[in-house]
Amino acid sequence: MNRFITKTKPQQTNKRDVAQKRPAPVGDENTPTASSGIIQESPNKKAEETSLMAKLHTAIRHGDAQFTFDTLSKNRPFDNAMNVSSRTSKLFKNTKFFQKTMTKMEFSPSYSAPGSEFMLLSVDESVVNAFKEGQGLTIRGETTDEAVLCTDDSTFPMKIIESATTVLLLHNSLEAPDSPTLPNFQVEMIDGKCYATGELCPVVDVLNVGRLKDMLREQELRWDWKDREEEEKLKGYRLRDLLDSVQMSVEEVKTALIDLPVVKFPNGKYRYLSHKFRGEMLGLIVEMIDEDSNNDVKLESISFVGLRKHLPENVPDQVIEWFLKSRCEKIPDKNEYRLPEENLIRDLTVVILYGTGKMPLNQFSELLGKILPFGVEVKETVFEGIADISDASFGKVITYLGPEDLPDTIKERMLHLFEYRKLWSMEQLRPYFKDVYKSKVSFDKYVVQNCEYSLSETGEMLYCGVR
Amino acid sequence: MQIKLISRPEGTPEWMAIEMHGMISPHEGGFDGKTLGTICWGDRGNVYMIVGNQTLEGKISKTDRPLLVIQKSEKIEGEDEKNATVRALIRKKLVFKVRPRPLVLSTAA
Repeated sequence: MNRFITKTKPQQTNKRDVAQKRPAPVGDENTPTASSGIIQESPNKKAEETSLMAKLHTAIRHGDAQFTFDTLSKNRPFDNAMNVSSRTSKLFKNTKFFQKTMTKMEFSPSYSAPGSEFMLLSVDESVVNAFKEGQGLTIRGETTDEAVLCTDDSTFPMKIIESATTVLLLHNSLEAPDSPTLPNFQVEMIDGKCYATGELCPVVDVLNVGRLKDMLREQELRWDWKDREEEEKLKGYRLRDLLDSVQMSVEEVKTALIDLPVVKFPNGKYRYLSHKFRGEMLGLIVEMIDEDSNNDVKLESISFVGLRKHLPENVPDQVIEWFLKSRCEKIPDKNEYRLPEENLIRDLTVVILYGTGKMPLNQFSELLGKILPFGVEVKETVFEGIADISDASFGKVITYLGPEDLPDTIKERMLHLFEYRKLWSMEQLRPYFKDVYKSKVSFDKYVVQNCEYSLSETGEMLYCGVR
Repeated sequence: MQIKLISRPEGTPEWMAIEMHGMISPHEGGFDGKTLGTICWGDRGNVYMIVGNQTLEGKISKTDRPLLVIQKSEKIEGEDEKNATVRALIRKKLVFKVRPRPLVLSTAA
């Protein structure tokens, strides 16, 4: 019957113990001579036990439930369980305590087939619900990555658990049967085994934009792309290509793409607009706004047709649409947009500071004033989240801190900001993480848990380092 | 790389797991069609399993979190996508936590 053994750690025994105790031999119900015993008994008694063990195994093998039940119910530890009926039969007749059914566990004929090997993955109830509702579950990552499991809108890191346990799988659910009055056997199949066990870690509350940006920037759209038109047509990534490498859910990738200067082309490919491309295009748009004769491109009213008429061929229609949707506000019931001054100033600030990194504030203001359309006023609050103004010995300095070009991992970005300035309030830090933290609560939680702080004279918490 | 987890048309049934410490290995040949042991049912989910001349004591319990039973799917030629099938869900398991004990049968009982 059982041609296998359960392997357990060998117990340390000294020779005297061995002499006194005989270890239980590994059983084989098919061998009538198999014996078992712990303490040396008289030869007659031992022979009786051996004989009883052999009889029990024969009874199990031949399905003699009455003998098996009678034998086991008189012995520990089965007596407690199986004899409950005799003690409580008056009260619990025909209840679950009356366990006269025994269950033979048999390996299915296809147990060792490759199709009977499974991986078990411990997941949250929310993941099960998402799967049952028809949401896609996808495991993502390169071969060198720790895998993640994505639902349509969330990402869970996966962890493989090393375990010394054997896990067998049954298609049916085992439960104590309602026992009949006579002992009997039922058979349950072991249909498969588990070869690996994994578990999902808590959901990731930060967008892992680093790899996404790296991939897109490798094939960014440059201002002079027309010079290599055929070659350029092959560049870019489809969403599926991005998801092959980026460890984010579909919704998270789409959210991240909204914040990036990325345009989707009719062939389904996404292209990152280079800084130079955006700078040149913005320069042309500002010129159009300044031109009095151009009535179709004004801060208050700007249209696709107007921009298309004046922008050169190397600015594709999709880029114009991206500009209108991401930088302008649609005027209700019209096919026109309004370009908020604040957005224009911020974009021009990035254009000016991206190359230099920082410059004296008066020099910057002068340059910005020359570029901006006449009458546009600049307030310092407009730089929040892209640049910071600090005091230097020679006056004020503006430094470029655009999240697009800051380090992509949270810790590195924090360190970069603390290197630039020692003390930050939570409100000052938050705008520099808007692209990676979509939830204010998640960001605040990260800062509270991971950043060192000191108290200002007014009792305000100022963060000064990462633990 | 992406591996999509797909369900089967007939849905995702609930299976059960038996968890045992250590390894089980056959004396000879494979396990196919052989008997692992005989379960005797106690009260309150307690279970005793006779495996050869040994007894394992276990209990049926609920898993802390649901377990997805995932099976590798064969790659379909001409398709780039890799799939794996979620065959079942496990919420209950029979756990044998303690080491096996020798089965001692007494005629005196």
